[in-house]
Amino acid sequence: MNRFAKLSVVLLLLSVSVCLSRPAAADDALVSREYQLKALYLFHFVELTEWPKADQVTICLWGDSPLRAYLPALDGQQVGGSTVQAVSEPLPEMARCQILFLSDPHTLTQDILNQAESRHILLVSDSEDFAERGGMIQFTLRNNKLKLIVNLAAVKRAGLKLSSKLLRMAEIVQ
Amino acid sequence: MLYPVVYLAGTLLACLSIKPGFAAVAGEAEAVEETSELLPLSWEEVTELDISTLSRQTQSVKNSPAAAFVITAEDIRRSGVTTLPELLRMVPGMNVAKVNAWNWAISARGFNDLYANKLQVMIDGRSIYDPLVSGVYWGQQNLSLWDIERIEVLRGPSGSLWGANAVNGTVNIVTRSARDTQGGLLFGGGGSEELGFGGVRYGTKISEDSYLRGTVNTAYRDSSADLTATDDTHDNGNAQNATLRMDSQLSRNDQLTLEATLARYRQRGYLIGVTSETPPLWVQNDFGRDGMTGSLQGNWKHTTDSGHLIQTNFAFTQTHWLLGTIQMDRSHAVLDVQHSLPKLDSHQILWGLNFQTVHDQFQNSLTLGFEPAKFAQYNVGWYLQDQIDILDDLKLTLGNRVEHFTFTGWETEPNLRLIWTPNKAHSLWGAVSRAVVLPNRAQHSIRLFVPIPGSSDFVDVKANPDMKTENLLAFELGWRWQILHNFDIDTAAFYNIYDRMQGTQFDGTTLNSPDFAPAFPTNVPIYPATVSNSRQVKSYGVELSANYRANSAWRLQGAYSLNRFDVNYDTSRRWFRDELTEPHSSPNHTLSLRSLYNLTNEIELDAWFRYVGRIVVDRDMAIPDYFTMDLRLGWHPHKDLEISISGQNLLDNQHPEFSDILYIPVASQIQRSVLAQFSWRF
Repeated sequence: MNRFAKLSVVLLLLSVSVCLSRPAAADDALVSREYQLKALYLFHFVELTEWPKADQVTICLWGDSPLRAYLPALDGQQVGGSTVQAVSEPLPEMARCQILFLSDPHTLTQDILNQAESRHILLVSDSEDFAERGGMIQFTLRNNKLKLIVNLAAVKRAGLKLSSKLLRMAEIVQ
Repeated sequence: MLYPVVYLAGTLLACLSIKPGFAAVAGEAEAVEETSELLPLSWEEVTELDISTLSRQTQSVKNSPAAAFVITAEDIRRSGVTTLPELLRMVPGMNVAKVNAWNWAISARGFNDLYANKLQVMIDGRSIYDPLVSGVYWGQQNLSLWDIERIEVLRGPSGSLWGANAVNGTVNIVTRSARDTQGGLLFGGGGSEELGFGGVRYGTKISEDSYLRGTVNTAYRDSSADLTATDDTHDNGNAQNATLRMDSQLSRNDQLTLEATLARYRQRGYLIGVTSETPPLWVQNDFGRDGMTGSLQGNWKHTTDSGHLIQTNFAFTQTHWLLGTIQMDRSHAVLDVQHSLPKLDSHQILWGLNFQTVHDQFQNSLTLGFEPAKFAQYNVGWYLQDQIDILDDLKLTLGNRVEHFTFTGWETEPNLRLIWTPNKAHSLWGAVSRAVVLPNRAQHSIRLFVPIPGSSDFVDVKANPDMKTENLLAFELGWRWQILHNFDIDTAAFYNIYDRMQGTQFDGTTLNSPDFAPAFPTNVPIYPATVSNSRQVKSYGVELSANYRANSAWRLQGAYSLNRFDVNYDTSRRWFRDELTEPHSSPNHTLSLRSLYNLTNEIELDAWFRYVGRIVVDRDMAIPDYFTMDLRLGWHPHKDLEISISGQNLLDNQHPEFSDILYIPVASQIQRSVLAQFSWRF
């Protein structure tokens, strides 16, 4: 080994050992990243869902969820020909919503399902068994990625059509 | 002398800047801003995001103090192409030229050649650059493009991490995890040049935390057109590939990936061949390559609860091929262990050890031989890198690798990189690095006896066992600018000084002597030539890439590169080919412009324009500049089905892109082609 190569290695080692002192502060933002990603998914649902009539798509959130912090980013965005509106009120009127995210699993009642069907509302949640219980799109975590479980029958009953592009990524339950 | 001083300076800077750590708490405004930045991503890109980082590749590229570029699975799918090399045409700074149906000249930042020797190429960390020529036989790499998750391209030297030959660039092809490829996929297609290709992939869960997938695929390729465009160059052929990959979460802290690949290739084509010592002495015939490569590789990742990451990589590759004039058997084994320490204050340290052996054996012929015919190389390396946060927005990376090579002894490949990110819109980086090109087995031991292209004389090239490494000292500067939330540009400039670059000089003329080739006519003029490290080359250039997302349905991506050379050599000597190589065989200007447009959610219309400047190869063969276009129409009639029709090289019937008549005596032209493809998931 040549002299300078040796010297450079020694110096680098030296510098490393001299400077080591304190452990760094832990940084855990996993939860917020997960919800940030969910917000992005909701945004794309606007273009991947066909409503019987919609020139404006309103995204609503019921309940307490970290998602709330990210929704304002979607507000006012243009998708295709329609404008996205993200409602920040805690409990907006269901009639205003085209996409409704339910953070609390107990909110999914037969009444809500009936209303969603008649008003063509896409029901989304990240609570367990949401899709099996009649919800339309359920988020789930798998291998560090977000996956979708879709209840296709429920989507159809509400007169909605999901793009094959979305369904390619989804697991279908009946 | 420079390096130790630079290290010392960096160390002092780093130590002066010790400061308390900051807790990163995202405020509401920041949450909205960060999310807005991600809105322009396409649906496919969003679904690929990992929760733990949420940084798409291009974002981590933004933080790297190097000229990096990522080709995503979505880019691959929408390119409409069927081979790996074609994908690299979208990367700024890459030189990609198709020599014929199976051979490519691919390099970064110039020095392009059939046997370009300054690019490190890996598949999941296994190097596929060939230790015989330090280049890649691209025709032997026919893995299914559906299995690729992304291709990371780093221009410029990265020898301190990837070792010798990562000189002008590093390409890492990352295949999809077996977890992400569960279920079945059937794909195939056919067209005028890719006559037929297809394959099947199936992935299954074998235990609670283990997944397995296998892919088999095949390709049949048509011949290229010859220079008169009235006949073809008989370079048709076929290739088959089989890959098995297992991904297993052994425990909470241990992750294991095992991969086995078997590739077979039959590439026809005219090659050189002095087949006998009696007339007709040499014939130009179908001496195509017929070969088989098998590899086994593994990666074991162990994280400790205290934050240490230990990665062990091994790869074993066995290659056998047969040309008309030579036959080779080779075993290549690599073991690599890397340890990343938890972040300590402002330091992020990693170090590693690397061991590699290459055993080969040749059946020599009069045309081409390697002396000794049987040889073993043992190379060992040790590397260390420290990434230091000098200030919140200023990061310094110091790295060095010390390696010992069988051919050249000890080498060192240090580098220093600095990145400054004053705000979210701008980042500025600079680097100084040293890298080496190892003399390969060919330079070290080749004996090539062939007719000089375009004459009846012969050249007898002898290797030089005293060959040293070619050394590069590289200076780089880069700037990334997020102009709008949906528009960004990435620029890089470089100035490279190559010292002791290889060159082939004539040593005079002799007439054949009976002891050289006993039955050869004695009146044949033979020019003995020797390879040596006898030239100095400087190169400089600028690369630019731009990304514009007009809206959620339309994305535009552009790449431009400028490359120039300054060659210094002893003009009083007679040279064999070399004096033209750099300034002429690499185009000054290269341009790529892609448009990805969704007509509807189910129908995609994509276009790709390319311009490549004029080059001159083989002394006086000019390859004119060309402007060409590909088009692709894709349709998803069902969630599991994709159908596409694409046309390549649509703007002319055929054009040449490169030629190397020393090795491939008949020059080819690349033809316009149409192709239909489908993929079906089950």
